[in-house]
Amino acid sequence: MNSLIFREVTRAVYPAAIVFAIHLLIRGHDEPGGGFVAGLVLTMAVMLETLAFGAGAARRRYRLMLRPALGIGLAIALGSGLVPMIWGHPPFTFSQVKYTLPGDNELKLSGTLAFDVGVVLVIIGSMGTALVVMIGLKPTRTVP
Amino acid sequence: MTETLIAIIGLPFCVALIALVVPLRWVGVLALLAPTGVFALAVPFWPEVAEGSARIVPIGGLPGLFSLNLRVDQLGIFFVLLTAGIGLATVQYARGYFGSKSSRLFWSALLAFMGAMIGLALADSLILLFVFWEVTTITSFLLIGMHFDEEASQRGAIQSFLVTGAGGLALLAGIALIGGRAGTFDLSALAAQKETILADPMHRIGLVLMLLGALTKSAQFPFHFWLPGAMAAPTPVSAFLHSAAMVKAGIVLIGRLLPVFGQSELWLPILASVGLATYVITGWLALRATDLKELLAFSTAGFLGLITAFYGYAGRESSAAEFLHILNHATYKAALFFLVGWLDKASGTRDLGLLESQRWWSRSRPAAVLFGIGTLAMAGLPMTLGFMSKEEFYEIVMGGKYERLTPALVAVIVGSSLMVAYSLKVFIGVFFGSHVPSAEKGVPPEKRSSWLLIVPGILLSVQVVGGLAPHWLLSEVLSPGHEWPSSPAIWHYVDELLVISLVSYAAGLVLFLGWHVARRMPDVPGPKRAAETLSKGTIIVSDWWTRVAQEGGHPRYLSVILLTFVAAGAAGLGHGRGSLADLIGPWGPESFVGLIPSLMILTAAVFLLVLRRRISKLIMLTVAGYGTVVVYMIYQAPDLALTQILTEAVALILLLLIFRQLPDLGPDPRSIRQKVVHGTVSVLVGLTLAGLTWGAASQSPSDRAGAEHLRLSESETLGENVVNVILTDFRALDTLGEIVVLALAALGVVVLYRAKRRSNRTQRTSAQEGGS
Repeated sequence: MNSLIFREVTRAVYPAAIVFAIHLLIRGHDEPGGGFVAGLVLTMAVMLETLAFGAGAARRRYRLMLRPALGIGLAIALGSGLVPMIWGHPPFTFSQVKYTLPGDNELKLSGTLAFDVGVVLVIIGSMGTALVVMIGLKPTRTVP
Repeated sequence: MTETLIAIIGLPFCVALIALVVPLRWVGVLALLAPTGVFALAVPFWPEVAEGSARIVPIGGLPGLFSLNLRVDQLGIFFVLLTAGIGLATVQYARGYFGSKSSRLFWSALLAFMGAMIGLALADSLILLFVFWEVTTITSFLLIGMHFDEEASQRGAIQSFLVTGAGGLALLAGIALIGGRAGTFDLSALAAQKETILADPMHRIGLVLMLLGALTKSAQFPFHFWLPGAMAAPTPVSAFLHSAAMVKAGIVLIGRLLPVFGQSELWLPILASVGLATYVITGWLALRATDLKELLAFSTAGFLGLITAFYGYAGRESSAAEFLHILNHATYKAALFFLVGWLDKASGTRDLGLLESQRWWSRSRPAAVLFGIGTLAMAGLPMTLGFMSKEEFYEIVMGGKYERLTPALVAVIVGSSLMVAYSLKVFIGVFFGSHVPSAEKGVPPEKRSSWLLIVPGILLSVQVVGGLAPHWLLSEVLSPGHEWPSSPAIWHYVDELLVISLVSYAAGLVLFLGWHVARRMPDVPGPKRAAETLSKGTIIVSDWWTRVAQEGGHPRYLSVILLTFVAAGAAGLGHGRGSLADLIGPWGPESFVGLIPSLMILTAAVFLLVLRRRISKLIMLTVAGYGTVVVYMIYQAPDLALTQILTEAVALILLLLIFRQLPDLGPDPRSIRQKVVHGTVSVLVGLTLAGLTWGAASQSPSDRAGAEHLRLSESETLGENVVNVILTDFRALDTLGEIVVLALAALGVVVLYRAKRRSNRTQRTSAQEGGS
């Protein structure tokens, strides 16, 4: 798609989408959001990029990111579930800690965040892989 | 103790795995390790269990459902030792038999088979027993079908697999029924509450089903037909299969069920009638057979019939002779199979008609002597263990009443005479034929491994020792804890048992002479035809089913998947609690607002059907999707709304990219009938989904599960968004499964893409080659 406006908008939206995705990921445990949604937002960012700058640019940019993200994401999700077994808990028993910071702020750390990071990586990895493959196919208009 | 038992079961499987990778010339030596190791590990248990002690070794399992416990008792350890002993003989024999022409698959399957048999004998949990049971079915299928390019081999393997596989299913059903009603799958626990089980009339169905499994495995009438078909296996396999493994698995199961069901009113009639019928019928078939292996196969089914009948009577009065029968049969039958393998090598044939003209007595005296001992044992003549076994069997069948000629007694005498007759036929036919030696076709003597005669010789020595010193073998080694009723000795005074024996010898001689003169025997039709019909029928049905379910078009695949979903969903709905009236609840916060997105979805759905361009259809689909988003908003489900918005967007773009590849939709090519079928499937799916949604929605969120989730999410996980807490905490494993599916789908896309690119490339190169 060769449109100047679309490209410039994409340039602006892309970083914002990534920040928004991280925001969704972190707040997911308490408010609407979470790994799945964050992954989809990231996918949308990649899609914008691909549509605006073309398949070749996208492939060059993401070649070494998307498919590894699949494996790494699965490993993180599975690993985060296995870690609690070290302390003798059943798998996928995540523990949490909550600190009260000065100024009435709270900091919550949870094992589920690691799991969610894995989910994000798998979503962006799988959707992005499919996207890059499909956008590379040349349109065929022949009726069989 | 636990470690030793696990080592005993695990060792053959480990060696089986290693055998797949090491160089072929080492595999044979390596294979000796498994039975030797098992034997050495199991022997120390024997003195203790032979006194009658039995121990349960807890292994775990699924708590509350079933255990995987093992048990150490006389029957189990006896079978372990027997399997390892005969297994060792088989391995050593097979090394000599195959020479350098064996295959890794053979050794691996043989060792796994051995391991499964050992596990089966040691299992206390019926679940564990069933697993090993199925492993023996599968590995024996591999072993019988070893020459998979030969038709007979294929047919034999398929037949045995169908029969024993079906029996396995019956066994599973029986286990589920009995175990489910008793609340335990442990044989020891079942035996402890046998009064309760036997008082329940349902136990009959479970018992019959389990016995069906045992009887098919042991090739009992009317399932005996698979055993001769299994003769297509290499001879060492046949020997192992027929003496210590596979068919004996059924015997182990019957022996295990005896303490639980021995007093059931069905136990004796079923086992005695089936066993004795097999004894007689297969005796007749063996007398007719001309292929030596086929003859021995029928003879195996016959002797197993005798053991089956024995167990039937053992429910009435306890007897320690089970080990005597099994040991007797295992040693002489394995030895005879080994000898037939030698004869096959030496003469190039197993056909009695051809062998008769070769007069092997003058060619190999050692083989003749060994064959002689083996056939003596098979016929049950004195000075062999076979004699003891037969006498003990007559005794338990008669139960002390010799004055009347019961049907059982008649069957026993007829079966025994047939055994005598075909034993004579084998021995005299092979060694004292009427003609001068014809041209030799077999392997010359210097190329035959001497192990082919040494191994059966060792096995037969057990027969001779047992025949000459029965008291020592029985009271000192086999069952020291048991009082033998008639002190076993080589010779005892004339009593009723000896009379029965003598009558059977005489009748056997007459039958043999009759056969010798007539040379032809009337056929018993049925079993073979039944076997062929069974395998043909199975193939026809599976062909038909494959055509129906997998015709190769998307509409059919989709219909199968969707209708399965409908069936599952309908079953779920049928199980729901409450009546239809409970389901009709309020429409929502404000029913009027809910109408707007509903209209949006409905309109989009109608247009989706009417419009004929792919892009338009896709956009309508998305409109319906965003209608759903509005519903989520109204009903205050921001998580779902957010997810749905993003999913719709991503799906729209991906589908648009795919649709660039597809041709335009022309006019609808489907016939009216196809349209009706597709419409029906769609409506059914829609109704099921609506029903499921309604069913789920009518559950109040303050229901037990919902309330628990709300309560626990705050206290256990410190999470405030219960939807995400469910996804990442309570149901993290489900989420993991979902992302695995997603990852696999992406890999599938990549694989399809590469396949297409490759095929394009080859097309291009071939086009270029064609042009140049």
